[in-house]
Amino acid sequence: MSLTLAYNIARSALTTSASRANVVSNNVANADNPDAARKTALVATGVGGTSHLVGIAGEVDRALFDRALESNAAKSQASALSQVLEQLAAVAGDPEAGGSPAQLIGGLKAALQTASSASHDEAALQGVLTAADALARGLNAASELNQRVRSQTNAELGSSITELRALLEDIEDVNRVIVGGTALGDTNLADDVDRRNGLVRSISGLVDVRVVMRGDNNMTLYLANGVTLFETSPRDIAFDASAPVLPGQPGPGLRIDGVPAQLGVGVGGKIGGLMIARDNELFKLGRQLDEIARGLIVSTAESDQSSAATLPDLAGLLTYGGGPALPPSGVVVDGLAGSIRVNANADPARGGALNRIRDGGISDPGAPGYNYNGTSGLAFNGRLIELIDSLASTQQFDPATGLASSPGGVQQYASTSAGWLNEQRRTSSEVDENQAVLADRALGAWQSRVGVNLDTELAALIALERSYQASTRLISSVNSMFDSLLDATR
Amino acid sequence: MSIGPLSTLAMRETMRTQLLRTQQSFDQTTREVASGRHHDVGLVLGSSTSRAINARQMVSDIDSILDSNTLTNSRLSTAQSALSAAVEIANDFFETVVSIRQSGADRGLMVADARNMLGTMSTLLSATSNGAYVFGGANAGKPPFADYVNDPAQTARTAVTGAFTAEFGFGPDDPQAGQITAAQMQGYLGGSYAALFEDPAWGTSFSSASDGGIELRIAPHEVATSSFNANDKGIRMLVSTLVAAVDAGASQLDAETFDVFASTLAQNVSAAASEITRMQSRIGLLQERVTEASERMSLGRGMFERTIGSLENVDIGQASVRLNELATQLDTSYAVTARVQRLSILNYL
Repeated sequence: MSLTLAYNIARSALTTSASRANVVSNNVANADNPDAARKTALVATGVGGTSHLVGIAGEVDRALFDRALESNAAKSQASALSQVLEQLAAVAGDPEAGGSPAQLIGGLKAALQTASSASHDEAALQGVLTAADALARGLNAASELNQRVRSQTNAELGSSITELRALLEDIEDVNRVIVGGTALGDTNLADDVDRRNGLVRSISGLVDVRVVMRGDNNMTLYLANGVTLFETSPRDIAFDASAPVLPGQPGPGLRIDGVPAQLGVGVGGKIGGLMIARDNELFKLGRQLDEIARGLIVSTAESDQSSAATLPDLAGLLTYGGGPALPPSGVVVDGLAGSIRVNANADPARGGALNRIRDGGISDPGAPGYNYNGTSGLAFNGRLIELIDSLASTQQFDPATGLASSPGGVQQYASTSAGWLNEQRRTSSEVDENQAVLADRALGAWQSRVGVNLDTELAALIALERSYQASTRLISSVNSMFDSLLDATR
Repeated sequence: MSIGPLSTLAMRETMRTQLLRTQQSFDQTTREVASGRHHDVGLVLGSSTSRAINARQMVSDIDSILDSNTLTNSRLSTAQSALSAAVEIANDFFETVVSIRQSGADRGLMVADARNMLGTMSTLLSATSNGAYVFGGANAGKPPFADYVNDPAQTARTAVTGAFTAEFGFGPDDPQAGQITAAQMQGYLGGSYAALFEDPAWGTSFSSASDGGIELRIAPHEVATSSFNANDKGIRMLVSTLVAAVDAGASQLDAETFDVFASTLAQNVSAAASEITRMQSRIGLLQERVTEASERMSLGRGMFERTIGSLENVDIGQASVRLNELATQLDTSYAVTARVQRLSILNYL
């Protein structure tokens, strides 16, 4: 034992205190960083009782972290789906607002009823024309909105996938540093681990990612369905964002590590949610709108009225790009809702005549067979009443639209479709809310467990201050002891 | 109880997200209280939205039918009042004919009366409602019956005088008419004259009304047919009697023939009156059906309105209570947040 040794110990304590203060200040600085784990200085006793900083360890809780990742993916998936569907509220959000196809059909029916009691009145027939025009335009707008949202969803999917690739590349860099550092015995990797955790958390917002740790602190990422996403280097993610999204067809496919992800199954996260929205909800809604359009064209079709009917049924008041022939019955015609329109033969502004709405002959004014009004009396309203009835008469709709086939006319089908859409909205928004709560809670639990508590750090700082003071005091004491010794020997 | 670690960030985040959620429901509830409806009806109702839409469509359907029933009713009332006037004409003419026949007064009075009454009949049968000729049947675009005497085309009059001339060999105003026997006159009135008021002669020379009935959708699943028009039997009989008074040589007939002639006219005109009354009662039945359908629909409308209300509306009382609770909660949250944020060990060092 010598005074020099005591001096050395006190000196090492100063260094250690300074390093520990460094760790504390790092913690304080990162108190707001959601990915930062609390660091602890690892101090060991060295030769002759000196103290040394041997490393800095970050708090780790794998189980809570995995839970946070998983719930974040579920939340992102639900919120992506819910946000996409929210954009479609205009198609059938509020029953009071009159813009939904079902309500527009109601409008046409009301106009026909008014005209049926005043069929001599041009203004009443004009009312039918206006209502039919509003209906056709409403369907065009709904179809266009659906298609636009679908394209936007696809574009967003593309940018999310680009983001995922970038994140995986970042992870590759950080992971290499950590693995290399671990192999070399570097003990100060806590900040890099924080960074890597942050990147993984970002990825969990995009896909449902699972983390598997290897022995040398090497991180491997898999999707929930077992497809490898990252192993030492990112796996290939193939997606052609520039491919068109066509009505009635699934959008461009996604392949991760060569495995196709159909309908976003097992992908999860925002990317999975967007894929489901694109290829399920929006896809089906588009087809339902097409079926509504087809139902309307069939309902307003004109048939040969002559006693020996030979002419085929043709599209009347409402027609479409392929008119006047009727679309094939019982099967969806993709994109029909985008091309449905009022027949020009009924529109005086386009060379037609209003009285054809009452008398028939909209489909082919040249063929007398389509004339319903034999005596051409102005009060004839049989055709108008027939139109009202046909909007409610049962039709066969394609079951490939996601709607359970229920007997009923096109009006009923349209309101069932509105109910279906709102049910999707309701479910997705409910799941979104629940998952948001769960995700907040899981993240909070993990952050609570590994995060920084300022009060703890400040208390630690006070302890450090005291130990620093004590060490300096020790040094000055040893110093005065040396002084006394030297004085004595002078 | 074990004390686990609690990070400052987690504590603050929890408070922040809680505050955000409360604010969100506060906002939604405020809107619900203000509008009385769910903040997002479609979102809250989900698949029940189609029920709300169906109910709304029923209401709009009923509204439009109620509107058109009002139109129909006014059309039927117009017809009723015109027919009442026609019955009155028939009765007046009956009195005129009977009194002239009994008193032997100037037959010219009867003829003048009949001429005026034919003019009135043309006005009555040209009654319009909402721009359509009520008695036109499906052919509502033009007056069904021209003024017999003053019609510039004189289509009907030419046909009648033509028939008279064909029967007797001279015109109705010819003094030779005095030689027509009572039997001849009766043969004419029951024969070629009567044929003028049967189809198709009636349609070509007198009436342009169409016989086809008009369908009326008086309730969502009820279609009634309105089939009255100027071709109705009563109207034909009345017109035929009045025309006979004008253009069957009435002023020239000898006393015996006139006596038989006048009594035939009197019989016909009273038969016409009762026939028109029957027509009125048919229209009355239709009116009643329309009115009943409207009443039924008004009741049904109330039911659908209640369905809509129960689906789309919120309980205002409950919503305002919730709003108060949320306000208190928000208040407390702010106070707690502010206090917790002020708490720091720094203040005590």
